[in-house]
Amino acid sequence: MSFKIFHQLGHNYKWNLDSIKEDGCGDGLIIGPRYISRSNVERFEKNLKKTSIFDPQFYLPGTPKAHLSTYEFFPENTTLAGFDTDDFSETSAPISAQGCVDFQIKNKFYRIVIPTRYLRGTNPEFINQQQNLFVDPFLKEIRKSKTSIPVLLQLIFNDLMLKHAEYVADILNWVTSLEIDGVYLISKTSSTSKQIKDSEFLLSIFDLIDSLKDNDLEIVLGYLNTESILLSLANPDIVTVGSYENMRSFRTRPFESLEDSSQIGPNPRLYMSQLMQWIEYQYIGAIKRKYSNIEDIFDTNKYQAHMFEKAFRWHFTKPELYKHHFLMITKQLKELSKVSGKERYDAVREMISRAISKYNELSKKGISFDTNSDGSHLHIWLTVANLYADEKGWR
Amino acid sequence: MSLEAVLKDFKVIKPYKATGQKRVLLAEHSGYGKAIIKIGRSASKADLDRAKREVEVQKSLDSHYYPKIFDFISFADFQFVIIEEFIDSQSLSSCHESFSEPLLILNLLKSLVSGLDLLWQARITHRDLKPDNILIRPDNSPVIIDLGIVLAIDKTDITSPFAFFSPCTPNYAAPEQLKNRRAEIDPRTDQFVLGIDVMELIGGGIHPFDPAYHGYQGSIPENIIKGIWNRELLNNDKFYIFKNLINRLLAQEPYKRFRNSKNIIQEIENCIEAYK
Repeated sequence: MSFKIFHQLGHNYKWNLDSIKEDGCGDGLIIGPRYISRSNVERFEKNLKKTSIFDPQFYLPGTPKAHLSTYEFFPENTTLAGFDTDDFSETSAPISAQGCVDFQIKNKFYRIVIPTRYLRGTNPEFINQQQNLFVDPFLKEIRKSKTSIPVLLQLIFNDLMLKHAEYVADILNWVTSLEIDGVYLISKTSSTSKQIKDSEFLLSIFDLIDSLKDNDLEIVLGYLNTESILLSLANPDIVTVGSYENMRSFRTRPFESLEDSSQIGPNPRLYMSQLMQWIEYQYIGAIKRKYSNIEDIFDTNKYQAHMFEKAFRWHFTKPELYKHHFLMITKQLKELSKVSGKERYDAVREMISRAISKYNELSKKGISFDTNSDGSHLHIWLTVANLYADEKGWR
Repeated sequence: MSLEAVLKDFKVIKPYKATGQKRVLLAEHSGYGKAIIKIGRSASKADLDRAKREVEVQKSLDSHYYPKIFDFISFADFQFVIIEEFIDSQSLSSCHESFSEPLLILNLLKSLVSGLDLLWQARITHRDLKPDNILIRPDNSPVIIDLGIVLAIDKTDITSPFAFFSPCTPNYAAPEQLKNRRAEIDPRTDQFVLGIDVMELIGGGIHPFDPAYHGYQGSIPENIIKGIWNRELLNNDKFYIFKNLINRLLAQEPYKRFRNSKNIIQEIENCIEAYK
């Protein structure tokens, strides 16, 4: 089964729109109201909305950060005294649900999303809260509307939740009893590493997706970085690509009221598809010296050509970094989408193995990477892919 | 009106054995013909509500999978009478030998799932699908009875949250019923008991969780909670095709069972196809 590729929209979302329209990268969008005002979302082209999902981003329902304040149905905006769990479920939840469902139906999005609140750790009230605050009122509105648009339930799993088998089972028993068509799944790791290097975390995501797929639920995987390649083995229906790091790894920080805007931005990085890694730009000069033909190691395209010009000023806010990434990662994902099952496993294993070989080649040439640019995630990913393939009988 | 006044219009043919709070009679009525009379006395309003619920549900199901309800009368002292259609049949527990062949079992299961789907679509769980509550007509078609402990998901559960387990027959209950995990009781609970019923047919009338299979360890409910059942029965040539179907029906966690009746029927049809 093939899968679609959606852009996770954030700051400077115009780059994502350009990438779809000009470079043909991706099949749709996941629209984030934190970054896009209500009126701007409404002005999106109809055809684009038809293939896009609106994520209400109720993660921190008491904080209508930035453009979230323009959505009258955002939980905090529906209350006078400020968001409070008990008061909200009794009085404002139906108003919020009605507004949010109406908005999604009127804009004719590809799917309707029932939002979620982000909860830390393994909160024993997880199911009750989600049910009372969002699921019940949303499903009531959706039933009332008689819409035929499929419904996704958004779920955010942190690493503690994912690794707690009984906790996951309780959530699965609940989710699979609901009248929904799919799950918009976000997994949040507490690691600060640029790539996920926790095999147990990754294997738990595979288990979770498998259980949901066994129940005929569509799976949308949000906020993905390069691990989208690995997770494609679980046969999701939609995977995402994003520009800035906070669109490739779920964080609550951009939704917090006291986000420190004065913090220093990250070093600019270049996505190298052959390495399955974003490397810090300062390595580029050294690598170029070691390859007479840069195509042997770098991806070449119009954005790369521009970035490799001497006059190019590397900065993490430059669109070329991300448009280049969209081109290359969607190319890799599209290749995987064409095959399924064992064939996809073989292709993913081959990609990872080749990346490991490339890192070895670079090492022999004297290039020594720091831990956020190196290939230390690759052996873990290969292990995870192999273990999953064993379960599926592909190996 | 008194109970005697109601009964005077019937000629009692024979009494059946009393079960729980109920007395059951086979009787003849000038208008209904042969009918089943269930007489009960509720200990409380909650029990009476339960009986009323059975009637409400059964009345809403105009289907050959359920007996028709002719009347329900309750009295001031919590006594009640249910008059329902008599069905010429015997219970599955007394005719299991008629279902020893794979295709007969699969077709029975398919019919049961189709019948139960009428309840499930209404978000109602039967919760007591033991073989005694499945009647078999002479043409082998099933009738589902005794909806006395059904739980309409959208209605308030009348069971106390402090009960040791939810209303059920413990030997024919799903783990979530025995653990009184009320939030998890939904139509998938019935799937588990259907799994027990089918395995009992495959085992020639012996309960799959019977401790006799396992060196006399634990009771049947204990084995249900621990997931200890006689899997060996599916390792022979005759029944190995049932493996996936039964493994899903008897999964400990509801999410590992089938999500809906369509999926179960699809799997049953796959099995039927495999036997052909």
